[in-house]
Amino acid sequence: MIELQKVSKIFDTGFNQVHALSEVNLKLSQGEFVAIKGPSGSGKSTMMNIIGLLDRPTQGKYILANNDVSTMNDKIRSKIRGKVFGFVFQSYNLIPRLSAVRQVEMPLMYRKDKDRRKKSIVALSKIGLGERIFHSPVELSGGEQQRVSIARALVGEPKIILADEPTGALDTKTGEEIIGIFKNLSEEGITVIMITHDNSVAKNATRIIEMKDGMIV
Amino acid sequence: MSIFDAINFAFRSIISTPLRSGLTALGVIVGVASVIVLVSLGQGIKKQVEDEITALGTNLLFITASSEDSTTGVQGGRNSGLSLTLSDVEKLISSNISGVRNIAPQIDFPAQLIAGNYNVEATVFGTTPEYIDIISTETLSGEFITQKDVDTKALRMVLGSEIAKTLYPDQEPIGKIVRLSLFNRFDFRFLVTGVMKPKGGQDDDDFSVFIPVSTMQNRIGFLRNPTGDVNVFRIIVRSEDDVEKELVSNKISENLKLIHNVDKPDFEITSMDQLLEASNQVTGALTLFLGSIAGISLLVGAIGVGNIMLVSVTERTREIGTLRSIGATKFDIRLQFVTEALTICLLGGILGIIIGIIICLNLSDISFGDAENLSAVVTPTSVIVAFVVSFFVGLISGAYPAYRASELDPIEALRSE
Repeated sequence: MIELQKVSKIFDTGFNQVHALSEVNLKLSQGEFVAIKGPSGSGKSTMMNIIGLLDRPTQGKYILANNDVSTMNDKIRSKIRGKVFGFVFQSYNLIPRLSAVRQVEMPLMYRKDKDRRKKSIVALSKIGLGERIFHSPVELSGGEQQRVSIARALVGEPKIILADEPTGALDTKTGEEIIGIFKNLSEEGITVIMITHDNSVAKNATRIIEMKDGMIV
Repeated sequence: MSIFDAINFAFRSIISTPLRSGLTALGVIVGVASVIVLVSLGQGIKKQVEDEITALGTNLLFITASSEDSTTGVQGGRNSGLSLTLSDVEKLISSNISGVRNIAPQIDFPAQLIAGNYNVEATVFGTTPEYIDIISTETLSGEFITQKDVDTKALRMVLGSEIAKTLYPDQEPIGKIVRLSLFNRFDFRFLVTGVMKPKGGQDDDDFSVFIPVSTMQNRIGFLRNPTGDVNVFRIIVRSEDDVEKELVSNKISENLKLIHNVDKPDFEITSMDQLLEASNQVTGALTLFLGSIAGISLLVGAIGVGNIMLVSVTERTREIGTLRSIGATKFDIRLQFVTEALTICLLGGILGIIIGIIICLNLSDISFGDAENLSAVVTPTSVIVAFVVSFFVGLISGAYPAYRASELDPIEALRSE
């Protein structure tokens, strides 16, 4: 499903060149639950951004569902991003002025989906927030906010969930609940790629990828 | 993202920071309201001037002396050429020009009028019976100058309404004697034979008195020129309603040239249309000037909107990154921010138009001392222009911030605090 072929990412700071990724090869198939580990600066986030179409590789190819997406234009990449991926962030990245149900509707709004209210409520119910759909982020706990962001990631029926330290800001118990949700999703056939520092979190994954100095070790 | 969604999203952003949005919109409100008020004031002045000109009657022609060939006078200045005389008027009348309804001379000078304990400064007009028809009015009481008055050079006088009120606040002026004093040297006694109907406003005729032109000619001798004729400041012609004024004007010109025995006219004929046109040019420029001043405040409002939108983009950088990650294209981001600026400007524009109209409606109640009350005329054009302008203000002030937002690198945006 996902194939990185000799993908490199070089940031040119003007003074020197930083090799964030060096000729990384990676194959992931559908339904995998992958944990990416590694110290800061090891290239985890860069790889995640390239996979999520937020960034382009400097060299190498990125094949997504048999298409080379590394050279497509920004508009098409944005559309694919909205359709194929769901993003979950460490700090939730909710929009403060919108109620839970409207947060979750946002991805469908960009797709001009007419059934978005219904789908949004379904997604929130699935994640256990059916009772709190009209609450705004400030009225929700950290765990609840992360659930809203997972619902937002799921509402567009993505093939791949990209989670960057999703439990980083949560207590252990809430974190375990969130990991439980990811486990269920991968059992349903959704690929989950998760960055984490925490070994106890990583051990839940079906596959652990360790990174160091821009390379998979 | 549909336009409707963009508007919905814009509203949510705007009401989430009510004070900031309100103050930003205030800049546009003040700008649009001042455009409406000042342009309407300009239009009001234009209408006032137009009304005053047309109140005289639209089919009037004024013949004035023109000193084009004179070496002494100022060209076109009052009395400059002194080429018009009373005998010109008589000759013009006897040439029976078709399309001409009435011709009357007009000689005027300021004088002091005294009656009992009251006195007033008035413009004294020397003219003929036809004058009352030319200025299309009638007497309130008594009668206007008659042909007999002219023939007998009678010391008879008709008072303008305001003069009558001032000299005779509580008696009937007809039959009373008025003293006319000129430069404290000449002193004449006139019998009041009529009072004019008030014309209203600040019309000059209300502050004037009328005496037979022959009286002026024969009894107030300083007006006489060396040939014994009397110089006339102005000849007023009233044409028939259904004739081409240009044609009448040309005929009069031809006749007067023959009378004066000249090739090039030593006089000038001005029609009401020309006067209107000239005044429209002046008031149009005034409106443009006022509108431009108001436009500056609208420009300041636009800068305010652009500024706040830039702040908003900076504050919402992370949000923009998030929106990009959930599938927003660059165009979607641009659409969102432009719509937000447009919404602020259009709401501000509508409020500004309403406030501007309210101010205009109340403006005529405010009086400024002795001056006439200001009147503002709100035209549909100024309202539409104000609305369209606030639309473009929104578009332009939102364009750059929206572009900035859409060009943000999603990764950088997501990383920002």
